[in-house]
Amino acid sequence: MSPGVLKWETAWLTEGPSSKVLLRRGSLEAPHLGIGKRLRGYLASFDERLRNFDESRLLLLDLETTGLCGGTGTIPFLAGILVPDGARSRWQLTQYFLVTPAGEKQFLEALAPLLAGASAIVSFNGKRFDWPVLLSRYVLNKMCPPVDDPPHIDLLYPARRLWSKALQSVALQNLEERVLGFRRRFDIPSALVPSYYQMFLASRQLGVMYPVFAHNVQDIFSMLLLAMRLSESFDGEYACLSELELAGLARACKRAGMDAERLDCLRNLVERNVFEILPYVELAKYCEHKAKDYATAISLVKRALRLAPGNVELQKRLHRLQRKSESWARGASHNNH
Amino acid sequence: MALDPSLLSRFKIDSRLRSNITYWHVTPPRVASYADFPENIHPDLIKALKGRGITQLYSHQAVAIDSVAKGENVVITTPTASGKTLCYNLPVLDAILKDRSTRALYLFPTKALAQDQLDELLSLTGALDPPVRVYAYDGDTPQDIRKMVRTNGNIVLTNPDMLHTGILPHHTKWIKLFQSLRFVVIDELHQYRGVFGSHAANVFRRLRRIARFYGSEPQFIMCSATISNPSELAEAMSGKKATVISESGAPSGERHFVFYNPPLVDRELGIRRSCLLEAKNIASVLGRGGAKTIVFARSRLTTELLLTYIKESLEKGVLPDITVRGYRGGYLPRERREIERGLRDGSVKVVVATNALELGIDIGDMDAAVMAGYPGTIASTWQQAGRAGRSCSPSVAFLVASSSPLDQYVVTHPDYFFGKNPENALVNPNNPYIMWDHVKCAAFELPFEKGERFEDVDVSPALTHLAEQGILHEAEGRYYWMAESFPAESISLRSASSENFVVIDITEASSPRVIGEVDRASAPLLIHDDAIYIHEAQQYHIEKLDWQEKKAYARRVNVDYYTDANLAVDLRVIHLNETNVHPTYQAAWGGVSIVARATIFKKIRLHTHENIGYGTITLPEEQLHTDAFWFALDPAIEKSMAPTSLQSGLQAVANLVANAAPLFVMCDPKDIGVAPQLKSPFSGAPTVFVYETYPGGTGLSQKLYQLHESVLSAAYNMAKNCECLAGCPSCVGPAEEVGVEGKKAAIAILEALTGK
Repeated sequence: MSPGVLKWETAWLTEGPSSKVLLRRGSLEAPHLGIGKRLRGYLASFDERLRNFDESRLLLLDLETTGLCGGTGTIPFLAGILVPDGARSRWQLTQYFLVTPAGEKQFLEALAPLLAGASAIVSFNGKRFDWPVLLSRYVLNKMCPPVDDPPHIDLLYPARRLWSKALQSVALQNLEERVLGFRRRFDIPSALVPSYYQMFLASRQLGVMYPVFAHNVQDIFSMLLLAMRLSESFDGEYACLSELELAGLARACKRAGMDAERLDCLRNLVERNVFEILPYVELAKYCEHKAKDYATAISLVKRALRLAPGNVELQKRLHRLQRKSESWARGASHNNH
Repeated sequence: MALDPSLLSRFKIDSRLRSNITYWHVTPPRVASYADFPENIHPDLIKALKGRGITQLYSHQAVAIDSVAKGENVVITTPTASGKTLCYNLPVLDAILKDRSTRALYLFPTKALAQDQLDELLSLTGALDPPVRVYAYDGDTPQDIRKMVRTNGNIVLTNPDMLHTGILPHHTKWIKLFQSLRFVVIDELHQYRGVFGSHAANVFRRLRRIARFYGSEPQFIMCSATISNPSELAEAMSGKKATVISESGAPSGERHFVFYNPPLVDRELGIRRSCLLEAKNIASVLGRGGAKTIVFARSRLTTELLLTYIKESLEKGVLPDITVRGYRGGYLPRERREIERGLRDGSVKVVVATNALELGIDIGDMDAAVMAGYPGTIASTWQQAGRAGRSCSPSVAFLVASSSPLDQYVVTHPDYFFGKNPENALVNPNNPYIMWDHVKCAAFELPFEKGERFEDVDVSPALTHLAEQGILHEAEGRYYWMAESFPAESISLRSASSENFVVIDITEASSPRVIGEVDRASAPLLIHDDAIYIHEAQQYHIEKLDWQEKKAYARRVNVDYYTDANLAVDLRVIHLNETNVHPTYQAAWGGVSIVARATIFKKIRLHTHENIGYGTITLPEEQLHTDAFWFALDPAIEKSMAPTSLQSGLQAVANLVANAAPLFVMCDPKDIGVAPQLKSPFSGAPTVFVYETYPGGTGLSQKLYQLHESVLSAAYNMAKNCECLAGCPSCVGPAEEVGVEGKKAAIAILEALTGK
């Protein structure tokens, strides 16, 4: 399932023995994302710049670091960067590997133009971890950060909206198995990554690092697949989504204030005769307060009551709707006279 | 309600009370000495101060502001409630008003104090426009406003623990603060002593290292209670010489300070009536007389005892019930807040507390303070006494002496107490265990350059060692942090708080519950098998102490005794730091290795305090590397005495020196231990060792060595001036511990040592 890299090239960042950063470059065949209007709208509700960003200058970022707790003693030693290649259905993957912590300035200088030129950064949990860690490295090396606060799409948040109800955990590997539908083989656990780098520094054997390089590639591929999947979920056919996903999408739209999209989700759920009462109630609320369509609201609440017969809240709502409906009818007939 | 003057005269009229008063000190009202605002102060600030009724400064405030303006580090040691906070708030706010990018960091030893100061500061800055941004930053600060505090706060109020774990390791997020950090304020400086102070001094070394990285060199403004060595302590914290400002210009109202020595019940044994019972009587008189009274006890145990006694006395009287509450460490935060509220709104009339209430936690004004036993330091005593009558209403403080030697020395030597404070607050920033931890934290925060010093300390051996362990990685002359761990998280600035033992009540087998915590050092003595542990005036019998799991299982009981445990100590000298030969002895200090084991405990009957039985304690022995001060007797003294009387004399002298040491170095009695050796393997002569109970030492031994002539002289006075015949708990220790000859022999030895 995971897209394959066509070929790998390895080179030093600069000529000569002074280079302290190793480059691994490869390209892969995969469609471009084509992020649609709904996902852009959702993202824009958190950062308006994400409504109209240029997708051809997107940058997917994943760091491997010497520790997972953050703070100034946490050094990123591997940056995996994936950008769309000019040609259609092509992506270019570059890994920047810090061969010695003393080369950090070179490492950061190399990343700076990429970060500064990106229209948006895509990450998984990068808002809380990767980005602050990287920013702090610029400060620590007395360098000006290339960009302070770039448009940032952290896939963790929309993924949480869509799948946290259905899944125990929205960790990347769990999403791979339960949402994207594949299981990693020959991978090392994230928790072991720092110790591989320690082994490398002690032994200077580059071979030690290959499992980490591969792990980082896997993470980035998964981010790409997850971004595709999110894009499809938000902007594709609702019929392709499970009930839980659709309910999650409704929640996401509610949070982002996208009412029309939210109503679409709810209607779709109601059409599917789901057993969960929430969509009926939410839609009924809309019909009652916004559309003033009491008849539809009453029928929705009755359908919900069939699913939850003893529900007092629903009964109250039904009575209120019936009262409103009658008084409206009286008012209407009164006006007719 | 204010203190009724007739209530005070009762103590003078009642002959039984009067006869026990050894000293009645009245501090006459003092007139203020004022000074004008310095000319260049920002007019908005002067307007804001005038709006709060501050139209001129006290003289010491003007001096402090002037010194700060000259760029000096400053430490202010004027009395409680003399307006010390303005000494730092004024220059800091002035600097901010003149340059809005100015930042200041305020440190308070506790969160509660920072909160109190925040309220005060906000009431002053509220009148400024545009407002100066002041925030507290601690464990309770909500996540969503932390970023705002970091980037916008002109003044950030925090505590050393937060600086240590929350700010320094994330300094890149605080770039705005560190780039423009002009002032660091340390309030309650005298609290920064011992283990905590030694840790804090290193945290401030790290702070200055980070500030230098961002190109700033903050000025330190510090406030302290009156101590003997403010400039030494201020220098240890701020890394630079500091100007001391001690002359107060603040006015004060009339204040009564009464020394009360309970009557001797047994002149031969030197036993006095319990200070708890006397304190109970005094507090009851005050409580019934309508005075809002705070009673300080010295330990959790005595707090609980006193609480029981006072409740019995006040809540079951003919008068309507007077609400009496306890307050000490080990109570849950919720309970504490409720009691604090009760004190402020007046629903609680009498509170029995440990020194947990000594610092500025807001409990409103009290009329009277009763100290059941000397709080241990002069500084602490003034702070406890200061809880009464802060608002210039007449107030009274009673110091009720226990039989303990320190107490007896203080109530019989008022000059020591009311004269120039001889107490030293000591730290040892170079304690290897402590500094080592902070070198790790500093390396995490910013790579060390090869050859870089940690302020004045050469840390290259430590860096090499850490690199060998793989914690650091050396590349091109710098040491990079390479461990996955976050070092600050596992290092507590307060001694071993993570090592606490919990006490679990299993009386109801179906619902066991945690009732309290005990620190590791006290655990073998307080919660060994068969100990009686007291919590909220309820006795518990410890059925089982699980040393591995750090848990003690207790069952509620009602017995008429409490327990008191003994510690056996084996000591060896590892290295000698300094020594000095006197005609009759040789004094020295250095490093020692100690093996200690709790051996037996005594059962002591309540109220009469007689010994009613023994038990043995079986717990693993504890090993310790630390510092000690010692003195070895000249052979001539040894020859002049019978071996048995030499042995008891040595024990008695050791006890006396341990008792006298806290008169000069601010420490808890549990911070030092003594080990007399009849023939020391190190010196080959009879030797008394005074050692520190914290690994690596916290500076006490060196100071005791420097001051040993005063210490020995005070020890001599203690024994010589005591009214007992052959030793008592107030001087050399009870005769059953030091032998019937102990006191006489001790006086002979000390006469030879001091040449008296």
